[in-house]
Amino acid sequence: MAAASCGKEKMLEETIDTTGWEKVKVAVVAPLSGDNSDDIRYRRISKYFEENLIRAQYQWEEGILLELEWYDEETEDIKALARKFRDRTDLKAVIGPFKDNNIDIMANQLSLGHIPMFVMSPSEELLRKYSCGTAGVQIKDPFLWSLCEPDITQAQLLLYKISVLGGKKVSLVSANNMYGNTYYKWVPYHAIETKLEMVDNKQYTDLSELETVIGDMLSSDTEYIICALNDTQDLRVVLETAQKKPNGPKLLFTGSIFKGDVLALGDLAEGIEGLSLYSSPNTGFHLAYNERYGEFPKPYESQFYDALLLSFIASYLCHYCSSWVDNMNEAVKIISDLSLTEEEDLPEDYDWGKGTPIWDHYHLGASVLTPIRAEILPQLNLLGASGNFKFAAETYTSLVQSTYIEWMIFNGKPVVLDFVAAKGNRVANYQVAWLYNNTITDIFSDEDTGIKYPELKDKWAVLVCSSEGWNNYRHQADLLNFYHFLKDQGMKDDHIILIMQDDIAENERNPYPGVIRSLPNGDNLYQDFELDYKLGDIEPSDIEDILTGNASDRLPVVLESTENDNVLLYWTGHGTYEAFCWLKEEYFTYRQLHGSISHMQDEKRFRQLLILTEPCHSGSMAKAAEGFTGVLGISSSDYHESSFADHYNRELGVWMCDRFTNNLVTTLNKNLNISFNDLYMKLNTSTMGSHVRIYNQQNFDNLHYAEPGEFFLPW
Amino acid sequence: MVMKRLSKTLPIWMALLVLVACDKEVAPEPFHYDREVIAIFPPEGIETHTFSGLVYQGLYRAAKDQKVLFRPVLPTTYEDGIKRIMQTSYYDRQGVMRLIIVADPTYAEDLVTEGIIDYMVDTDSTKVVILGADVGHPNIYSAHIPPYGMMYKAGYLTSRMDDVGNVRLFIANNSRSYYKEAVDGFTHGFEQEGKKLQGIDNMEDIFLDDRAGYVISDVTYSIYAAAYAETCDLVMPLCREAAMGFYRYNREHPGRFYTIGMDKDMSDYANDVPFSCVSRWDDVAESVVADWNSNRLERSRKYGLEEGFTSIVPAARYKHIIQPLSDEIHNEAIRKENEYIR
Repeated sequence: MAAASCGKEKMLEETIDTTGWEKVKVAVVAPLSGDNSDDIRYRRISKYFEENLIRAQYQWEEGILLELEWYDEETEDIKALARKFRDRTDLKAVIGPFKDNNIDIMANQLSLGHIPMFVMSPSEELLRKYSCGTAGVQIKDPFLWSLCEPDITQAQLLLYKISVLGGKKVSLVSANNMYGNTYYKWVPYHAIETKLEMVDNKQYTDLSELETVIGDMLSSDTEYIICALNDTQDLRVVLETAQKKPNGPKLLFTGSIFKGDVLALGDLAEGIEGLSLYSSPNTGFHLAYNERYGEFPKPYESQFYDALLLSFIASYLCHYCSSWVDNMNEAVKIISDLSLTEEEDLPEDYDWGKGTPIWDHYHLGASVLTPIRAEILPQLNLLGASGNFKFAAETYTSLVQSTYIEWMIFNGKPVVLDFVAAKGNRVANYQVAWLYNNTITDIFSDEDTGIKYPELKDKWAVLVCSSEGWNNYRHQADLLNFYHFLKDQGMKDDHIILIMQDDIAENERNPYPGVIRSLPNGDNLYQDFELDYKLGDIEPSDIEDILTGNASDRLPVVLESTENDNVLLYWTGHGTYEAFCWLKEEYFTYRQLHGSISHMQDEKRFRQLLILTEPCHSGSMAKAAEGFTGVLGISSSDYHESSFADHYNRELGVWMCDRFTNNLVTTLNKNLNISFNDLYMKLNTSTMGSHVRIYNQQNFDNLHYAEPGEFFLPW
Repeated sequence: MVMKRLSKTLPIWMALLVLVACDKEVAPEPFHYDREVIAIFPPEGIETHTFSGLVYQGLYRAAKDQKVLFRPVLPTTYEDGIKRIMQTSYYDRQGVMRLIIVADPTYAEDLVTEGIIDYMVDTDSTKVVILGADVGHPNIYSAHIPPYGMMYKAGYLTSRMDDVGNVRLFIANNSRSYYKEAVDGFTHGFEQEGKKLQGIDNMEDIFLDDRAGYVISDVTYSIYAAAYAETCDLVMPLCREAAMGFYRYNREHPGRFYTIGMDKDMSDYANDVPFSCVSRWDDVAESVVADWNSNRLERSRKYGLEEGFTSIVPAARYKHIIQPLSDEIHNEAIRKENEYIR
C-alpha cells in the first residue's frame, strides 16, 4: 500500500480499530446442523452485519458490537437452555429458535423476564398465545417479536394469486402441526373472502397419509392444491404422487419447503411454484446481497439480519438513553413506534419517502446512532433489511407488513417471479381481512315468510359441552357463560338442561379450585348452577331422547316442551365435518342431529327451535336445520372452517373462551332486543377468523324483525 | 477525527492491516462521509428485474468500490418523488459533495415542463444527473441509454423469424420519450425489409392509470390471456416489471408465442424468449459516479449501442440463429441510432 499524503486519503487505507468497544451478548438459536441447516448463511450474514455495524460507528472513539453465542436448535435441550437464558443478566436478546415447538418452549420461559426474543416465522397460534394484548393481565409487556406477518397473510396471498389466475376451486393439504394448523384454519376463511370454492381441506401426520390425501385431491375436481408441508421430504412424496397423475390440479407450495434443498430433488422439482417470506424490494437489501455474494438471499436471511439489527439498536438505546429507556423490549417498542406503514401519511418535512434503509452502515450511523448518542429519538420510519419495523399496534407481536416472493423452479433454477404483499403499493393492493366490514355474504330477505306460529307459552334450553380435559377449559367456560346469561334473563333451572363433563373446576391443574372464568378478571362462572348430566354418564344417542322428551330411569331430565314452546339448543366443544366430537373418541353426528330435529317436529316438541353451534366446522351441523319449518341454525364457522379460541391465559396455560360465544353473549347483553339480522351482522364482523353462518332463515321468520330474545326473555 | 485515529500506535495499526487482508469482513475500511450519492427512485419502488433495480445495483457497487455514500430515496407517490427531487436539488449542503441522481426518467419531463429544473443548483458541490432522459438543460446532467439502436436490431431480428406474423408491442406509457424512441427503433428495424408492424398497445390506455403499466404483472397476465393469447406470435414488452406477466404466460404456454426479454437477459424466465434487449443501467450508474468522483462529469452523455451499453443477448438455444443475424445488422443499427439521435 502506498503511503498517503494527507489525512483524507490516508483514511481510505485505514482500518477501524474496535479494540475496547463494548460487547453485547446475544444468543442465536438456529438449526445449525442436519440436512436443512443454513448455518453457513447465518454466520455469513452476521459477518456482513458486523461490518456495517463497525462502519456505522466509525466516527466515534467507542462503539458497541454484538457478541453472538451460537446454539444448535437440533441438538440443544431447549427447555434447559431457555431456563438458563431467563436467569442470565448479561444476555440482552435471543434470536430464534426457528421451529414452532421450540419457540413455544423458549417463549414460555422468556415471557417471565425482560429479554426480547426475535423469531422469523412463528405460527399464528404462537403469536396469539404470547401476544400481550390477547393474554390480558398475564403478559403486560411485549417480548416476542415476530419479524414477519403471521402465515395467515401467505394463505391469503396464495388464494389471491389463484383468483387472479382465474381459478375457482381450491383444496389444501397441510401438516398436522402448528405450522400446518395456520393454513388449515385460515385458508377456508380466505377462500370465502376471495370467492373461491373450498373443495377439500385435509391434514396429514405421516408420509403415507400425505400420499393418500394428496392422491385423493389430485383425482378430485379441484383446480389448485395449496401444499403447506413440513420440508423437502414431504415435498418429494407430493411430487412423486403428482407425477403419476399428469394434467391434474396445479400445486402451489408455501415457503416451508425452502427449509431444505429443493433443488436436490432435480427434475422432480421442475416447474413447482409458490410463495415465500422475503424482503421488500424497497429496502434494496436483496440487490446489495446479490452484488456482494453473487446470489440472492434465501427466505429468512433478511429477517435474520433484522433480528441482529433490532438487538443492536435496542442495546444502543438502553446504553445511551438509559434515563428514559428501561429495558430492551421497551427499546424495540420505541423503534416500532417510530415506523410508519405505507398507508400512513408522512410528515411534510420528512425527506425519505417510504423509509430510511438503516440496514446499511451510513443510515444506521446517521439516522439512528447519531441521534441516540445525543439522547434524542432516531429518525422516523426506519427500514430494515426486510422492510419496515412497524409491529402490530397494542400487541406488538408481529410486523404488520411483510413482503413475499412468488418463486418457481424453472430449468433447474429458482426464479423470482414477483414480489407480493398484502399491503402497500408494491403489487397486490389486497386488503387484509383481519378487521373487515364488507364480508356480509348472506343478505336476508325483508319479506314475511308467511309462516303462522301458535301462541308462545314457554321457553326451554339444552346446553351441551361435549369436550373434556384441562386443555379444553374454554368450552366449559363458554357453556357456563351462556348458561348464566340465560339465567340472568330469568330462565329457571327446571327449563335448562345443562350437560358437561365438569372436570375443570376441581382439576388438579387448576390453581384456583372451584373457579372457572371466561375472561381475565371475569366473574367466577362455576357457581349457582345445576348440572343435569355429566357428559361421561350419557351417550351421544341420548341427546335425541333428551330433545324429544323421552325420559327413562337413566335419563330422568328431558325436555317437556310442546308445540307452543321455543327451544334453544347450544353446543360447544370440538367439531369436525358433519359431527361434534364427544369426549375423546365418540361423535354426535349430522345424521343424529337431523334425526332429532325431525323427531321433535313429528312429536310437536317445539314452536321454534334455535340451534347455536360453537365448534369448528359447525356450519356442517347447523345446516341440519334446513328444510324444517321454525328451525334456525347459527354456526360460528363455515363448513370447512375452524372456530377460534380467545384470551390465552399464561398462568393457567389454556384459552379462556371461544370468540363466537364470547361475542354472542356480549352482543346480546348489550341489546337484549336485537334482531336476528343485527345479531348476525355484529357476530359476522366481530368473530375474527371464521364466517358466522345462518341456516334456514327462509323457513323461520323475517330476520329483520324476529329476535333471539324470543328464546330467553320473559314474555 | 482522522488525526485522532492516525495517532494509534503503529504496531496495532499494522496488525489490523494484516487482519484486513485475511478477513476483510471483520475489519472494514471506513467510507468518505463528505461525498454522497442521493438517488431518487420511482414511486413503485426498486424493481428487481429492470431499470431501477439495475441502477440500484450499480450505485451500490459504485459506493462500495469508490468509497462514497449512497442514499436511496423511495418516494411514496410520483408527486412525492418530484418533491424529493426538489428538496434535495435546490440547495447545497455545507461541506458535503453531493451527486443527486434522478433514477427514473419519467420524472424528467415534468421537471422541465413545470419549470422545476430552473431552480436546481449546479455548483461545485451539488450536481444533478437524470438517468434515462436527455433534457438538454444547463442546470442538469444526463446519462442516457438511447434504446433506438438496440430496438432497431430487435425489430430486424423479429422480422427475420419465419414463424412470427402478429407482433405486439406493449408500452408502459407512450407519451414518454424513451418509449417513443424504442418504438421507433423497433418499427424501423422491423419494417426495413418491407414488413408492416401490426399492434402497438399503450398500457396507459389498458390500465387507465399512468403508473400501473410499469409494475402490475398480474393484470398484464390476465389481459394478455383474455385479449391477445389467441392471435399474437411475439410480444415485445416495453413495460418494465409488468413484463413479468408476459413471461409467466409464455412459460405456462410453451410453443404458443415468443416474448422478447427486456433490460436484462430474461431467458431464465421462459423457454420461448429467443433473445433479450439488454441495457446495462448498472454500469451506467457506476460510470456516472466514477465520472463525478474524478470531476469528469459530462453535461450529456450517451451510453448507446456503439459504446456497448446496450446489446442483444440471444438465449442459448437460439444463439446459432440469432447471433449471426445480430452481427449482420449491428453496424447498421449503430449508424441508424446515431442518425436518429442527431
